Amino acid sequence: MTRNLAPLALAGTAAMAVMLAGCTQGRIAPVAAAAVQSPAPADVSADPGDRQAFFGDLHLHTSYSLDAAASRTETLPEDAYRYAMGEPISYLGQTIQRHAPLDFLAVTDHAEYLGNVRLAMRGELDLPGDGWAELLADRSPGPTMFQLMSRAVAGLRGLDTPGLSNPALVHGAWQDIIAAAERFNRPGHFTTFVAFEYSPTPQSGGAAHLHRNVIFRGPDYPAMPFSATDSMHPEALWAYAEANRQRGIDSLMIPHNSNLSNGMAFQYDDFYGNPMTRAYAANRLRNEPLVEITQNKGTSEALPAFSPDDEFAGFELLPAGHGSGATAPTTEAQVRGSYVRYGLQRGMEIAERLGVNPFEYGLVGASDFHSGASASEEDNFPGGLGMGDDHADPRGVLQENSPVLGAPNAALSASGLTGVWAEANTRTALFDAMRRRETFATSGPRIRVRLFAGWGSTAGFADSANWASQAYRWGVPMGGNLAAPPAGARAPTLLVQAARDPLSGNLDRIQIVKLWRANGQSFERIYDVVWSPGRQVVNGRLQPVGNTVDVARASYTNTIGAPELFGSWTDPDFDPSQRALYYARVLEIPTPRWATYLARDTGVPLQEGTSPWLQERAWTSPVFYTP
Amino acid sequence: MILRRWLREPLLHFLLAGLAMFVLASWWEPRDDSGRTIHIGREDLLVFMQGRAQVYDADTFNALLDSMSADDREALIRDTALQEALYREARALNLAEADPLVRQRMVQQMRQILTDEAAGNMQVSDADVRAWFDAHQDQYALPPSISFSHVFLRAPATRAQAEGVLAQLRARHVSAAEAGDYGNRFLYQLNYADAGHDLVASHFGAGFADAVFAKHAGEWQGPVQSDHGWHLILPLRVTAGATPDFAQVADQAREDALADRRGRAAQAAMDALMQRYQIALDDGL
Repeated sequence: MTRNLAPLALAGTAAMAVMLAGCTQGRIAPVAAAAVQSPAPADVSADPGDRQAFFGDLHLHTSYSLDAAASRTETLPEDAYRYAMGEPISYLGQTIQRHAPLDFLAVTDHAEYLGNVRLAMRGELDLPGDGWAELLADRSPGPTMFQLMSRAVAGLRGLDTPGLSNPALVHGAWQDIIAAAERFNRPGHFTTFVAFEYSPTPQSGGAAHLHRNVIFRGPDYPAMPFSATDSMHPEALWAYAEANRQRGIDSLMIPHNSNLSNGMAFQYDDFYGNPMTRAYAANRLRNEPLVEITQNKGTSEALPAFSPDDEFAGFELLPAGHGSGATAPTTEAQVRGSYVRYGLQRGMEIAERLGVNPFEYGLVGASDFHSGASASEEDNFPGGLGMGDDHADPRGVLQENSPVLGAPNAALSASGLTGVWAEANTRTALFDAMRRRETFATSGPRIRVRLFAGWGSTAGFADSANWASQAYRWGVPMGGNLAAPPAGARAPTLLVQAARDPLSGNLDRIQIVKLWRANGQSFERIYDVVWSPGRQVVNGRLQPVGNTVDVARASYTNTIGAPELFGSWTDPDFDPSQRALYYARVLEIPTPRWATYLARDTGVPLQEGTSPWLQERAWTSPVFYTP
Repeated sequence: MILRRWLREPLLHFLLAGLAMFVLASWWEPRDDSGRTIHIGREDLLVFMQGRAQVYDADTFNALLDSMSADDREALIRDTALQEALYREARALNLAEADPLVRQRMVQQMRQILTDEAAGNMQVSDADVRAWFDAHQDQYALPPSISFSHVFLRAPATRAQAEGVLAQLRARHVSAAEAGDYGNRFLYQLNYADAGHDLVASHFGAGFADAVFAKHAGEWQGPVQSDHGWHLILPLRVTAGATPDFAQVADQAREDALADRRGRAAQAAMDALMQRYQIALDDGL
C-alpha cells in the first residue's frame, strides 16, 4: 500500500488534509462505500442495438463553488439533483422546474476552497484579514459582488487565502457532496455521479483555463478532491487519479472551456513546457477520453476565420472582446490550441510522431451553470450565474455590457447536454459508455443521434426495424476506432440517424466533418449527408432550410425540417495511408434563443448584435481511422 | 524504634498506597500510553495500515499482515510507532488549541458525535414507516408505466397493410426479441422498458400514448396510429399508477422517515447542549 500512496504524497495539501482528517476516515469512508448501487434493472438487454440515449449534464456548480457562492447562488447539491429529476426548486426567489427531466447529473463544484465561501457568507466561518466583513454582508449584485469574486477566485490561481484554504472544512464539504449524490442515485431511473472541478487558472498563462471535471465511477471515493492549490499542473491531477485508480477508485477527467485556454488546451508540449513523450500521451489519453465542446460560456468547436468553408462554424461563440480574465486567443497558434476541431487535428499530428494520439477525444456538452439548476431549455432558462445574470433585471441582462464579457450577458448560451448510449441508466453503464466514448454533445435539446462506421454496404439492413443491432455487428459506433480495411474495401461508409427532440425544433441536416492528415498537414472538410425533403444543392451548397422564427412572439413552427434524418455516406477521397477521423453534426431548424423569450416576456428589447435565434445542434464523438 | 516511627509516618503510608495502586494498575492495565513506551499489538498495526491506505477491509489487511516479510513488518511497526509518538508530542504541545484547523475539526467532530449519539442508533418501527408513508403518499405516487415492443410501418403504409402484418405476428407467435425482423426503422426505440406516459407521448404522440396504455400485456395488438405511421404493439408489462404499493417503496420510505427523525433529533441535541450553557455577553454587545 505504501507504494500506491507515494503519488498521493505529491499532492501536497491534499495529502496533508487527508492526515488531518484521517481520524474520521474510519467512519466516513465506509459510509460512502456501503451505499452500494442497487443491481441494474432486470430486463437489461445484452444486444447493443437496444442501447438507449440518456441525457444529462456533467458540469454544474452549486453554492459549494467559490464563485457561485460569491454570485449569491444558494442552491445545494440536493437542489441540483431535485431540479434535474424534474422537481421544482427555489432559485433567487423564484420557483423553477424543467419541462423534461434529465437522466443523469454530476455536480462539479470547484475543489478550490470547496464550500468555504458559502460558509463565510453564512457567517459560519470567520475570515482573517481586512475587508471581508463588508464584502460578505452585502447581498446586492453590485460592485461588492465582483470584489468578493475577485478575492475568492485566488483559489483558481493556486493561492491560499487564510480562512478559505481550510482542508478540514473542504473535507467536510466533500463528504456532503458524496452523501447527496448517494442519496439521489436511483439505478434505472436517475443516475448521480460524485464529481468535482479541478480549476487551475495560471496568471502567467494569460489566465488560461486549464479546468477539468473529474467524474468518479463509484461506489468508493477518495478522501479529498484535488485542487489548483495542490498543483497548477494537470499532470499532478492525473497522478492523483492514477493513485486512486490503483486502489480501485476509477475516474475520468473532462477538459472544458478550451475557448478560454489561451491555446493551452491542445498545445504540443506538456504543461511544464516539455515536449510530449509517448508515455505522456498515453497517460493523458487514459485519463481524458472526452472533451467538452459546448457550454454556457461558449461553444468551442471551430472559428469561422479558421474554417471558412464551414458556414455553421460561428455558433454561440464567446464575444471576441470578452475580458473574463482569460485573454481571447488571437494568434493562429493560440486559436488552434483552443478549439476542439483543431485540437483533434493536432492530436493526429502528434500521433504521427509518437504513435499515440493524446487528443483522441469523444465529445460531450454541459452547462457549467453556477446556479445549481441544469436549465438547458431555451424557453425555460432562468440564467446561470446567480445574481451575475439575474433575470429579475432584464435590462441588465439584455442591454448592459457585463464587465466580465464586454457584451451583454445575453451572449451567454443556455447550453448544453451530454447524450450517452448505454444499456441502462446506471453509474456503471453510463461510465463505461463514457470510457468507450459512445457519447454525443448537444447545445441543449435532446437530439438523438447515432453514428456507425464500417466497410461495405449497409443497404441490406438500413431500413430494418432492428438496424441498430445489425449496425453494431457491421461496424463501430461513435467513439470507436475503425478496423483496418478488409481486402477489396476502398473507403469507409458512415451510417447516421438523428431524431428530433420532441419538445424542440425539427431537423435541418446531418453533416459529416472529416479531419485528416496528408503530407505533414491537417485538413478539414464538411459534407452535407442528408437533409429535410424538398431542397436542392445549388452550386455545391445545400439550400438553407428556411426560418419560421417570429422574434416578437418568440415562436417558431415545425412546418419546415424533418423529425428524423437517416443516411449513409462513403468517403469519396479516402486514402488508406492517411490518418483521419469523422464526426457527425446535426442541425435543427432555427428556433428562438433564450434572450428572445426574455425580451418578449419583459418588453426589454435585445441589444443590436444579439442574435435572436439559433440553430441548435448535436455533435457525435468521432470515429477514428489509423493507418 | 526508628522503624516503628517510620511505620507510623503518613508519608510512607501514602507512598506504599501509591506503589500498591501502581502495581495493581500495571497488572490491571499493563499499557502505558502516556510515557515513553509505545505498546503495539496486532490490532494497532491493522488500524494503522487501514488508516494509511484509507481502505477499510479487515480480512484483506489481516492476510496482508500475515504474508509480510520480516523487513516489511519491522518498517510497519516503526511507522506505527512513529505516528503514535508524533501524536503524543502534538498532544503535549496542546496543538489542538494552537491550530485553528484542528480546533474546527474537533468542533465538527463533536457535532458529529452528538448527532450520532442522539440519532445514530435511531430506528424507526414498521408502524412509524407506515405512518410516514401514509402522511407523505404524494411523494411516492407511482405513475403508470408500460414495457413494450412494437413493429412500425412508416407512412404511407395503410391501416389495411398494418392489419395484415398483425395477422402474421399473431400466427407466427412472434416474440419481442424477434419483433425487429418486421416493419421499418423507427426514429426512436424499438423496445421500451417501464416507460411513462410522458415519454411515450413525446416519442409517438399523445393519442398513441393513451391508446397503448389501455392495452393488455401478452399479445400483439393494434394497429395504432402515431405521429409517424402505424404500429403493432406487444405490451410486455403494463403497470397501473395511482396508489403506490407500500411494499414497493417501503425501503425508501424507511430511509426518508429515518432521515426526518434524525434531523429532528440532531436539532434537539444541539438545543439540549445549549441549555447546559449560559451565554454571558460583554458589556455593550
